[in-house]
Amino acid sequence: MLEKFTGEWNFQRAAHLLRRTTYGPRKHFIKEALDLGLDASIDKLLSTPEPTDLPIYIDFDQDPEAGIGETWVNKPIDSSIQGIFFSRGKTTWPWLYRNMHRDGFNIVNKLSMFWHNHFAISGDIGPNFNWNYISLLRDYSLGNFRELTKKITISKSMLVFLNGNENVAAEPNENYARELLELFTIGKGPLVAEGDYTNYTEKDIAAFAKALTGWSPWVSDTTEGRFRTWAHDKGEKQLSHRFDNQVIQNEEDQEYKTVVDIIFQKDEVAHYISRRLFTWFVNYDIDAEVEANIIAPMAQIILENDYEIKPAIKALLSSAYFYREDIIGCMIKNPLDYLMSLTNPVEVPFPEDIILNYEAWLWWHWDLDKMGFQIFKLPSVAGWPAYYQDPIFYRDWINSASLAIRKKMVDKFDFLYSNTDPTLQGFDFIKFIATLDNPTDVNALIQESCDILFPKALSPEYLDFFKHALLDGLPDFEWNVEYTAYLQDPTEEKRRAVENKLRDLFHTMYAIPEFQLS
Amino acid sequence: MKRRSFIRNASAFAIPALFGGVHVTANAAQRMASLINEDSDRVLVLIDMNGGNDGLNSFVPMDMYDNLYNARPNVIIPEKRLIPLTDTISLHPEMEGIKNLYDNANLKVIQGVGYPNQNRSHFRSADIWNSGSDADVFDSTGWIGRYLDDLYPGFPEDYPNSEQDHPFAITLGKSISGTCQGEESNFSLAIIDTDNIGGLNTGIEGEATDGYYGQELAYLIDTFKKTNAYAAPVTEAVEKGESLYASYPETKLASQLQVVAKMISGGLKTKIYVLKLGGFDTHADQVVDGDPTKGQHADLISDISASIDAFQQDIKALGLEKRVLGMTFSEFGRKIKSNAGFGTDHGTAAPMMIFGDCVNPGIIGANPEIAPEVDIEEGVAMQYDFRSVYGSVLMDWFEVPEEKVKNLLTPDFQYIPILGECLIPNSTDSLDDRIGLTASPNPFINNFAIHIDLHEKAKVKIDISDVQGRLIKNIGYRTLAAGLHNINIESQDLDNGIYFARIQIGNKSKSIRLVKIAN
Repeated sequence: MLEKFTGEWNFQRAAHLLRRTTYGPRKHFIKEALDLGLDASIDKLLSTPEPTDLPIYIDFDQDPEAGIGETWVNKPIDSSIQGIFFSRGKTTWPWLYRNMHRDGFNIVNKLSMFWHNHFAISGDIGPNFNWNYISLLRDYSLGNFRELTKKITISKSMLVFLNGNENVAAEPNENYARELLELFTIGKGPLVAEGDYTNYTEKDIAAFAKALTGWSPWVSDTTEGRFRTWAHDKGEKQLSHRFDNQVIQNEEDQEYKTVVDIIFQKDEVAHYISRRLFTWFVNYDIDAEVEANIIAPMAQIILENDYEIKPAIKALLSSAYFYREDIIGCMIKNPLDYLMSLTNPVEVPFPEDIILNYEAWLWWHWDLDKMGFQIFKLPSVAGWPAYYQDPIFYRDWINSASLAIRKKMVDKFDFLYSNTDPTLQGFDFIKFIATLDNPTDVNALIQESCDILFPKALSPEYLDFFKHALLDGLPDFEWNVEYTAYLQDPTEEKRRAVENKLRDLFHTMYAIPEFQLS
Repeated sequence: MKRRSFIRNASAFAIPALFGGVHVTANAAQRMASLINEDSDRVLVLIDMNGGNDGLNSFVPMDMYDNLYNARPNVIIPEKRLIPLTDTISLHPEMEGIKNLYDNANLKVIQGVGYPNQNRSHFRSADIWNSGSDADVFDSTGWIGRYLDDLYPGFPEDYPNSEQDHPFAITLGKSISGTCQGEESNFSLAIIDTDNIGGLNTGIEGEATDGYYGQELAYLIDTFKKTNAYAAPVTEAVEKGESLYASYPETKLASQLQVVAKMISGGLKTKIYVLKLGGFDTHADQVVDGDPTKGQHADLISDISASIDAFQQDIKALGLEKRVLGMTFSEFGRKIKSNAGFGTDHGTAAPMMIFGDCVNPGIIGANPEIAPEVDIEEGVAMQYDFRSVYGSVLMDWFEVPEEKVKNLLTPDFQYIPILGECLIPNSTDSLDDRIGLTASPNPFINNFAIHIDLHEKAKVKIDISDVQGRLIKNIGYRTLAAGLHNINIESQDLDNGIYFARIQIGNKSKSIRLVKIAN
């Protein structure tokens, strides 16, 4: 039984819940979670998300199927049209970021990214296939793990990425079967005998690969791959003792379901996915205590619910462990989390106009790309190293070059404030502090900003550190004088004076190591 | 999810083994390790030709040209447009720079490099090339990282320090290199913009807190500090450094190589530089329809070729040619058959290039065999395991003993004589040039002879030591007349690896480097 959190529900804990399950929580969402209480907050997070609009063309007018401002989703792609793949593909990213920016109080976006990292794909797979894949992950994000695995198995993106199209009866390709076992479902255990990885053997890989023969992604009128009976192995597939020596009989285009069902008969699958969820939402260190007190009970919940994932996530997010003092703030932000922690809490305005909006997000997209975070192009089939690479895990995001880019992103938002281009807008700190409880008091201003921007209370010396950034050694009351003067008579000159000082303050907050944590 | 690498255990035992089973503390091991590499001011520049370079259109096997033509008629370069290199190999017309390197004896080409059970996924195969693992082993450390872990145990704790104040490895680009991933940390400092390194605000270090939050915060603070600390010598070296070659091509790779030249000449003690040129995944439009000498691959191979040539000329002009070695690698070659889209698909083995003044120049390995009927899936067969190339570079360039190389890479390691003459450790009190010292055969299998050429009679002390400076054979003193003397050395009992034959006359000495290889 997962021990439930029973402590005081406060601002910091409510913010922690939202930081780990949404992107860059704003003050009003944190307040809402605080008012709702733990259980109701989690229910809201796990509720069915609003349906989204669909990605559109923003600058491509060569496709007879759809023009600028119209969606290309589910429209055939004529590969002879120059630039069509790039023009479709690039708009899926801003579509995603836009959702993350807007869907404030729902787990769907972060959970979709969990599944994307789990069922990792990469490479030039094509915009239509990737759209089908990401919308599948979104639709199933709180659904049944086993059914999702079935869908993924015959999804076009996965068929391309792990060579399903080359997996034919005459010459089976084991890439997918291998990763299905090793990374997607049951996980690789210790090598205990030649070709025997505790949870499965090489023989099982070969047998499952044969059972999965026959699927091709090259079909235009469905969202799933196409089954070709000529390419399917009709023979019996003998599994090892790890799968109780079962034999898979020919079931043609239904056989892949049997493959997944057989794997999911093993309880280890529930343990494996629990570890992955824990690593994504809580922490990377899975020691014996976590195995016993978190992973095992989570797996139990998953099994009791026949691989429905929602009850286990609910239990995890309500657990005492999740609210442990040293778990709060222990996760280094990935580049996307970092970007959203800059844009959302202080509410950087993004254009209402949808085309300009996409363009703005696309602009930031390339910075994420530079830091090794590119949706649909993961570094490997194992996902982002931050979520598996022992011993560095989340620390993988941080190096001298990525820190230089993170630093520069803050400068860019700043620079953009004085930009006249309507697409790109920067920080508006004056607007942000107006939402605070007591912005005229310098101590309250700093304290409340820190509560929103940082996961944990900072060491007390920081108050003076930040005050110095804002006031440069002037006495506290000078802030009140300057800010009040601006409020009473908001001239351009006064606004600039206050804004410059706020910029110094927030820049210092964004610059310190603590800001990298979530 | 614990993917602890098998190497972790292996390397823990590697250090005592090096010192003959004598227990040494980590600190002692570290000091001794740095003694071993005392003269190692050597630099290795790695260039990742990302995407899978088409070796068959780079180093074209002319004895197979007709069959190759049949297999890839739409991408093959017309014979008369190729640049002849040897009797049986011609170069892509854009590879003038490589021809120049070859003509100057600055190029070693190893044909057919790959690994057993080739994985044709980019990412997986790149991981394998980075880690130097078997195709079915998932190892998160890189081959350079393991080598550096072994030299600097305990990294990143206590680094930089007064003795090791420069970054061990530098990546010119957006991310640190997988090749440099150690057990605990990555050894490479990633630099995109040499004007924008460091300057991070380390904040206020309050009292350290226990638990996960405290650990991660401490890590961040440490990384901020390290970045700032390593930034100073890098910035200083770039400012002080020179580039004396004026005609670098105007490409990103060339400008990055020029930065490397500046860093080295500016006194940066970094051992490893990693650069990457992407785009070699030429499934489509590898060549232009109607003119196979043009297209994506021509542009890329031209960049590689001209940039490396410019870099080598710069390094020579700077007088650094005995210190700098370069190597290209790519996750796989392309299939022999082309596709209908004027491109080639993921293949198997491909040639590797090693460049510098110290290479043992020439081409090693046979031309790939191209059958009259080529299977659609067929790639170039593997002749050399890439880890044998890595390991030979480690042995020859960084003087890593063979046993250790096997430990770091693969027990199946086979030495390839990649490097040539200029590797004898420098000695300030060297004998003058009138005294000749050579050895043959080198590399040797059983016995070898050293040849001493004296201009006057002298009493010569002769001994053989291993790479760690341990005396292996003391031949003793011989009084020799002027002229050439051949001295046979019985060596069946020696383990495979690197040795130095040394002659001493008075208080001056000279030595020659020898390599014993497996029969």
